Amino acid sequence: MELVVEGNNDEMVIRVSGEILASNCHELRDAVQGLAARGRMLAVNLAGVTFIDTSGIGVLIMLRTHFKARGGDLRVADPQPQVLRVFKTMGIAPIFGLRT
Amino acid sequence: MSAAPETNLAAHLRQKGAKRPFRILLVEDNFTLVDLLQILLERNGLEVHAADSVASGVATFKSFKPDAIVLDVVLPDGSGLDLLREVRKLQHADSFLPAIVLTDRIDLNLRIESVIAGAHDFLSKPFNPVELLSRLRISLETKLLHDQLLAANAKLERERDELARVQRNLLPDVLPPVAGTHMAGALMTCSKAGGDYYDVVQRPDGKLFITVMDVAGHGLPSAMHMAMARAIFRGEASVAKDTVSTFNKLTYVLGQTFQPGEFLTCLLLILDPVALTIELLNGGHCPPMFIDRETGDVEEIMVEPAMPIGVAPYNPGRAHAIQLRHNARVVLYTDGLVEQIGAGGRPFGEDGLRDVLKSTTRIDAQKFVERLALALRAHQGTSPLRDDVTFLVVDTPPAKR
Repeated sequence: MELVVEGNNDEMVIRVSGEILASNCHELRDAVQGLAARGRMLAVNLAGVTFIDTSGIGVLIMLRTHFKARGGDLRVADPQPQVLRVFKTMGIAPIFGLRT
Repeated sequence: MSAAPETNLAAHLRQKGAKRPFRILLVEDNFTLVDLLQILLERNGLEVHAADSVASGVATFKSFKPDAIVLDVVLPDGSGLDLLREVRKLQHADSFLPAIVLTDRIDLNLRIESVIAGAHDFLSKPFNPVELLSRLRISLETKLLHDQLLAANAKLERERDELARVQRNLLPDVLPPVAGTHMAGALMTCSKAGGDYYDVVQRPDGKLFITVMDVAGHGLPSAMHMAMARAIFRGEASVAKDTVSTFNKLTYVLGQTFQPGEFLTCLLLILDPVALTIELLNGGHCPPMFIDRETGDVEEIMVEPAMPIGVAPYNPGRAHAIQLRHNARVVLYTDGLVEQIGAGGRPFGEDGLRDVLKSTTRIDAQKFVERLALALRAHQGTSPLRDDVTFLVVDTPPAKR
C-alpha cells in the first residue's frame, strides 16, 4: 500500500494505492490518525486502490468515527468500480459521500 | 576438591518454578572425575546417572530420560559426539535437552563439530567445578523456561479447543426439512474460533427465520460478538414481528458493545415455506444468490442494504418482500467464500459460486453444501483460509404436478 498526503490543513487529501487488506490496513489507520491532529476534513482518494476487504472497510469506518467525534468528516473519493461496489453492497456509500 | 557453591542449584530452580529435581546424564570414562562431578551435582539437588561409554550412554538415556547431558568426547567405544547425534534422534521433537561437552583438547574444529552434533556448551579440561555448575545453571534455566512455555501453550491450546467446541454447539446441528423446504449449512473457520454464524429458527406461525452473520475480523473477539449476536437472534427469532425489529434489537445491543471499526453484517430472512415468500433485510451483507433449478438461471437477490450493525447508532433497516419460485435454491454466504484467494491470487468470486450452482442443480441441499466446500478447497489449494467462510442453502420444494 502506498500513501501520499496532499492539500493543506483545511482540505487534506490522502491518496491510497494498492490493496487495503487485514494485513496492511494498520498503515492507513496510523497515517490517518496522525492527520486527525492537523485538520478536520479529510478526503481519502481510492483511485489507486484495486481491492479492499472487510478489515479495510472497518478501518475506514473507525477513522470516520474518529473525525466525526472531532467535529470533522472523512470522505472517500474516486473509487474504482469494484471498490465502489463493496461500499454499495455494504450500504455505507452514502456516509462516505459516495453517490449510489 | 573445591568448595561447593553456597547457593544450591535445585533450590534456585525451584524458586524459578521447577516442579521436580532435574535429571543429569553424565557420560565420562574417567572414574575419578565421575565421582567428583556426581558428588558436586547431587549436593546441588540434581539426580545423576553416570555412564562410561557410548553404548551405555544411549541405554541410560532411554531409561533415565535426563533433562541435560554432560559428556566427554573421547569414550572407550567411540566419540561422545556420536552419542550426542544418536540422542538427538531419540529425543522428542519439541523437547529441549541441553548438552555440555567436556574435552581436554582445545580445538576449534572439535568445538564446531560439537555444536553441529547438538552441543549447547563446551568446557575444556581441566575445568573449575564452579564453572561447570554455572554453565549447567544457565542451561537448566533455559530448559525450565522452554518447558514452562510449552506447558503454557498447551494450556492455551486446550482452552481454544474448548472455545471452538462450545462455539460449534452454538450452530444448528441438522436442519430438518419444513413443508418440503430443505436446508443445509456449513461453517469453516480460519482460526479455531470465528465470527461467522448461521441459524434457522422455526416460528410458531410456521415460518422460518433464517440468518447468516459475519462479525468483522476473526478469532477470539469476533467469537464473543458472534455468541452475543446469536443470543439476541435466538431470543427474537420466534417472537419478532418482522426482520426490522430483530435488526433494531441487534443494532441496539451490539451497538453498546462494539468499538469503532467493529461491525457485523447480516442477512435476516423470514421464509413462508408454503407461500414461498421471503421478507429480506440485508444489513451490509453480500447479497444472497439464487438459482432456478429448472432453467439454470442464476441471479443475485439485490435489495437496498442497511449499513452493517455497529457503523452508526442510527441505522434504519428496511425489509423487502420477494416471491420465490418452486424448485429454487437460495444460497446465503459470507464474503470469506467469494474473497478466498486461490492459486495465482485469484479470488473464488461470485463466478465461482455461480459455476458450482449451475453444475449441481440435481443434487440435494446437503450434497450441494459438500460440493461447494470441495470447490472452495480445490480453489484454495495450498493457500490458507483467509477469513471464516459460511454458507447456508435453502431449497424450495418442486411444484406439485
